Amino acid sequence: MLFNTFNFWIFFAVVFAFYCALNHRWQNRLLLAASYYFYGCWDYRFLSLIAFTTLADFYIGAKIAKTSEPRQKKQWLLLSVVMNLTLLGFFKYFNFFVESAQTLLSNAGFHPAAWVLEIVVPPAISFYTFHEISYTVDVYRGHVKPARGLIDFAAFISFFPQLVMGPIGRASWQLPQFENPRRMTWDGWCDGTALILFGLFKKLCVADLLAPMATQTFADPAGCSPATLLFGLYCFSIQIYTDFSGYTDIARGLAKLMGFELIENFNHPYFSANITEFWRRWHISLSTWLRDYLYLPLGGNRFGAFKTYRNLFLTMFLGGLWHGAAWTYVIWGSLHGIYLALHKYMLRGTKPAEIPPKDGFKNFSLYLLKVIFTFHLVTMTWIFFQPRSLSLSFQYLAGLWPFGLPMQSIERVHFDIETVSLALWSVAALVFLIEIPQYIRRDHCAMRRWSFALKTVGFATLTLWLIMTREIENVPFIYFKF
Amino acid sequence: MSRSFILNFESFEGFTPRIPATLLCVAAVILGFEFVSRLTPEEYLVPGNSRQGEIAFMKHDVLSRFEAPQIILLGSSRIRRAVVPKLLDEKLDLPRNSTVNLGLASGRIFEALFLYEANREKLGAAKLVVLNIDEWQLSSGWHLGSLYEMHAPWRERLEFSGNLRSRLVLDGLFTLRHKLRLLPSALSHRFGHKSDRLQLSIDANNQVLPPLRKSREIDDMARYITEMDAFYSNFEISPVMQNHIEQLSIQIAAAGGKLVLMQLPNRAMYQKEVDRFKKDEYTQHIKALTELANRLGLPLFIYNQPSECGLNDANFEDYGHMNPAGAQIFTRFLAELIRKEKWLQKP
Repeated sequence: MLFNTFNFWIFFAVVFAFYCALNHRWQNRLLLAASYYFYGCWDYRFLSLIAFTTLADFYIGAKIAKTSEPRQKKQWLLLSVVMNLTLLGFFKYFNFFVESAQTLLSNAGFHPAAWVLEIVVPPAISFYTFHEISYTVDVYRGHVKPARGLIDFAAFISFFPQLVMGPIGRASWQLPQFENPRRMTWDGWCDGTALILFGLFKKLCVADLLAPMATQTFADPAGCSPATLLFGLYCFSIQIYTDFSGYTDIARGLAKLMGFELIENFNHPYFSANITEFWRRWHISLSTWLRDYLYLPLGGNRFGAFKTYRNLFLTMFLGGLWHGAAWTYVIWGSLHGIYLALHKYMLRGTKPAEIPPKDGFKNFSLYLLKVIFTFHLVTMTWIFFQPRSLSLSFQYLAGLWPFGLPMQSIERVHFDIETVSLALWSVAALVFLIEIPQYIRRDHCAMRRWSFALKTVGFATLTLWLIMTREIENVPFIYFKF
Repeated sequence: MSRSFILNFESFEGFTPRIPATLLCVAAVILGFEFVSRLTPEEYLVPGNSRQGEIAFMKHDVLSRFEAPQIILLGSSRIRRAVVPKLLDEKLDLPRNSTVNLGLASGRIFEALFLYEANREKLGAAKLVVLNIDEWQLSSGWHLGSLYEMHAPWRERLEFSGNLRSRLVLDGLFTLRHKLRLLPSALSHRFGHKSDRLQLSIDANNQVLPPLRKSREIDDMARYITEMDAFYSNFEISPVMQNHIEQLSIQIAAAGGKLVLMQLPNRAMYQKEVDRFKKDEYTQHIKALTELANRLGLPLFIYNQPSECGLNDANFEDYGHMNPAGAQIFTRFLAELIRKEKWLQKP
């Protein structure tokens, strides 16, 4: 039951109708029940897992807050982190590490018995594990008071709009919203509705239309010319952004309707002028989580240049691994770690310039070139994010080089011209009606601030486009598998 | 805790509702578009290269040549390419223009039914209707086509399940999806833009054919697998699809004709891949088709291999479309079958 299914909207309409009528305490009970139902729709067996870790972290949080002894506090924190990471590690990475070890041993001439477990990865485990770790760490650091009630805490952990694909909630920001009565506002409703429309547009009109092109090229890079591969790569780059940020927009919109404020997860990352800026704008809830709970504890930039580069690399390496148990993600994360370290090295001793520059054509042109370069750097790195195997990634990379391989006499990959044309128009609508206005006004609901006539035209265009291009084929969200 | 305390709408404290002017205007614009599109006759929204355009072509350009055809061939492009009407007339000693081939590219049975109903006056006189059933015809998994999505009866829309039902219900409510998509091509078509014209013509043999295709890699196994994956995607035998055959058979019987179901052979090489990768689905399809034919009392001919009709792989131009040489062989084969079964003789 994802946001792009009809069933979800029936579910939400029912929940929202009851939610509006209830008082704050009962609203939280309703949200908890609804969230567990929502989660159980995928696999009810894993409800026990999320319930167990919620209960354990609630208890540990309370213990950390009550204990005045620093050593005991640390032990409780350690228990929480170990428990959460062990469960995550077992369900998500066990087979990956066993298989990798077996390959390593086989290459070294040993022949270990092959044994892997039939493990189903619980949906959303990467997201709610990070929710929970951030809670106990923040309680330990004194950044947040322990949750007052189990229902409030469990509702925060499992809050259905953000449960499956984030944004990764931070207790310091969100828990108080669950503990105190929420107020619905007219502006909240309007912003929420606009965000839901933008999110659906991004997912159904852009991401889903680009998906076939990206999937086809990544499935058979050997059957594509360099130009087709490049086109497929651009498609994937835009697809992954619109797919994920579309989900976030819908999640934030749903939360706004109910009086919640979720943290921003995307801030026009493809308008970044360098890789550091990109990571400040892309999957913000993950990058700030990694910064606060991994990079800074590793020492951040406090122990000299070399350790800063090492910490950046390690953070991104683990960030890559967080996405999935595969070497492709590890390489993807490592590459970003290298880029960030290189950028840090290049910037040493200088103060980052204000971007975008507000003066002069020359400065703006330079800024534009940097944006284009960063977009291409990020896009090329996506090659390691999509394929099922490393060899396909390298095949894709090699195929992009127009002089290295003999030209394909026959392209096996053919795109439906109508879909390509619709997708390109959708991308144009996305850029000119959503992205640029939002970027200029630094407001995710920028269209709402337009004049009445203009915003009516804008919203009507998006809605008509949504009606026209929607397929409701239930193309799953890319980040759902993480 | 009293009931009134639980249901106290406390979140609305300080909530000041306003008239949602933008929302109302946007809704008015969309409903206005929908209303206008429903009022506009479909012929103005039909570009030549759409399914509706193809059906209009069949009516105006093909059927206008036939007074009262005795044999009608319905189904997909596979039957369109497989049977040469003029040759069939000759082989059966029928007068000229007795056979009309109305196969539609990727044609669903609903579309054959639609075509038959729309031209019942002319087609009702036929003694024999041969309906070609492809392996994906009974499944709701492959695309249903814009004609069905726009014109399916409400009862049928609700009979499907899951996302398909949601899509068909939305398409029933908002016909805009297809009409907006068709509009640019329709306008372009009106202004005579070549690429939006239907690339079909009727030749001297009364066969409706697209322009000659460029030579394709017919031995390319990857292409076969892609085709097969598309045909069998979300494979699910649908009672609604079966019901379309039943409706067609009732209408033909009422008009005094005879409906024959026929599954034309695919290329042996392709069929081998189907047997290897999609055996279960193919078996389901054959079983459902056989049961349906038995229940309706319709003659059914399933040709699993080209050799059963005197063909070989060289008689195909791709996975299952016959080339001109193949069409000659198959038409002769069909003529023999019609003679043997005496379908043109009155009972």
